[in-house]
Amino acid sequence: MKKIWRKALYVFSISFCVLSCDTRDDYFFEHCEEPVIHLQSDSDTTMEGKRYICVDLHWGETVKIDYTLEDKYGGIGEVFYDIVPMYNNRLDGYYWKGFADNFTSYWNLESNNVGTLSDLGLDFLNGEGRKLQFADNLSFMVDNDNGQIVISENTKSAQDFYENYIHYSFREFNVNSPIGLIVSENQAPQRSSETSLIESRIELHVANKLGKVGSVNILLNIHYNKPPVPKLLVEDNSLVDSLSRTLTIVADDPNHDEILKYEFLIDPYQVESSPYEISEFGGYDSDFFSKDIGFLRSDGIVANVGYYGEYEKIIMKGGVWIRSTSLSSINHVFQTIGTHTVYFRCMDKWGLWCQWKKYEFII
Amino acid sequence: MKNLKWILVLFCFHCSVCVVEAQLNHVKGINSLGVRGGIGTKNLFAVGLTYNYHFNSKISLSVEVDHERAKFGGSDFVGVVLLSPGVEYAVWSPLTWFYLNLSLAGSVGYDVWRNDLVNAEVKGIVGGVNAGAGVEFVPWHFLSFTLRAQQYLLFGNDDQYLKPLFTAGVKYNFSR
Repeated sequence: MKKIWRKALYVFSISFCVLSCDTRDDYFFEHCEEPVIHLQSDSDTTMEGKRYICVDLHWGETVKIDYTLEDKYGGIGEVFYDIVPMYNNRLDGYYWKGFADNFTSYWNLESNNVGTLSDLGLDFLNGEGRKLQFADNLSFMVDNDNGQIVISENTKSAQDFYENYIHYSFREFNVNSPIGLIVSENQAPQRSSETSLIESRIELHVANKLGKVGSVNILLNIHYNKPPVPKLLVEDNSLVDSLSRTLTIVADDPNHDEILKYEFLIDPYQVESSPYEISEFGGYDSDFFSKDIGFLRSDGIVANVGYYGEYEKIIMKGGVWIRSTSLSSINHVFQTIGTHTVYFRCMDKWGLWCQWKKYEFII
Repeated sequence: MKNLKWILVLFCFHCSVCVVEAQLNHVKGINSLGVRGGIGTKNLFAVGLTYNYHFNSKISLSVEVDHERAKFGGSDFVGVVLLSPGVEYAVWSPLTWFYLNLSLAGSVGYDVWRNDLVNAEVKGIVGGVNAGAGVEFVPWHFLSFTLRAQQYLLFGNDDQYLKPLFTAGVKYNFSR
């Protein structure tokens, strides 16, 4: 008899579970179409099955994108967004406010096991308490009143950028990137590693009255500010003196920035030349890498004429060094007949110096 | 406290049976007309009418007409009418006043979904099937009480859904 009751209990339990199933849900939420955000943009791309509107941004540039909203039910709330950083964790300072300042403290906390990142007011990931947001040098605003998205790159100078937003432990130098940043292959943005400093995905969302959320994705490409590319012209100026020459730097800037400063180093002599491995460079050598990001030392220069992955550190002394002049052309009377060497470089409006270039000629 | 309530209900049935000589009502030619009300797991309420015509002690024709209201998020649901003709089968009757019934029926009805926030409405015919189980107490030959559980599978309005219904009802039994 007990078995019968037990079976009956099982049957009843199973039946009750089945009978309790109600699959109905909010009909209009389930069936309504998502609101649509129309972004006015010239280019787009598809990544991982999602369509992205591409936005290119350079230092100091502001881009405004008009958008319109469309919803079958007529009512739409405000546009909100999420930032999805990509790949390049060397530039986390771009994403987290105060990241660069607090990075060392963070690692100290971790290694000493005395606290967490949240003790510093930072979250590594999208936490509940604090949303990921761009640092001050990059602002992303949604102007709901005017239907505009405003993205601004607020970098004030090259020094500002590298000092404040890229932690020194991530700064590496190579000859192909004279501004001093290497994005290694596995961390490079996949789509445009040669031109883009940062790729970031921004997901825009809008909810209609029913709570249905529509989204559109923006792929934000923040480009390297490339240094100017100088050439040296040497003209015979023997009307003044037979050894007189006019040295003129003609520079092209890939970003069409104004060239503000020029430097000439005439006939220095070399006091040291040695290979310099990146791997030997464990920390920030403020003497070696001076703040003007020009590879300068007070007692000479380091002409970074190396090859990929390794530098040849050449320290020069002596000669005539015309520092940071706004003149692109100078006259110089050479002392001897023979071969002369001029190192030269220039700086764009961001304070970004190009590498030293060497020019040899014979008088 | 809930158990006490059910014990009292059963006790009342027992007393009724003791004092009144119950007669079999599941015999050919008996009609049952009743009302019922109940709830599911998500709805607000459901009310309905029931009719049975007994072919013999086991099988009867069953017709139910129900009206239901519910709210799901921002959507109001009205099951304006749901007509369910089918068959009811008495699988077990250990006592003359107690039946355990199983039922299977088709359903056709008219649903309305409404959302006042966006002033939208969708309405249309739905159809499907339902199956159920229940007990029937017959304290008097002319009156019986039912407790039933049913599960509906319905299609319509670009949707399909399962819904449960648990009802209590009373039926008037007569022959003509």
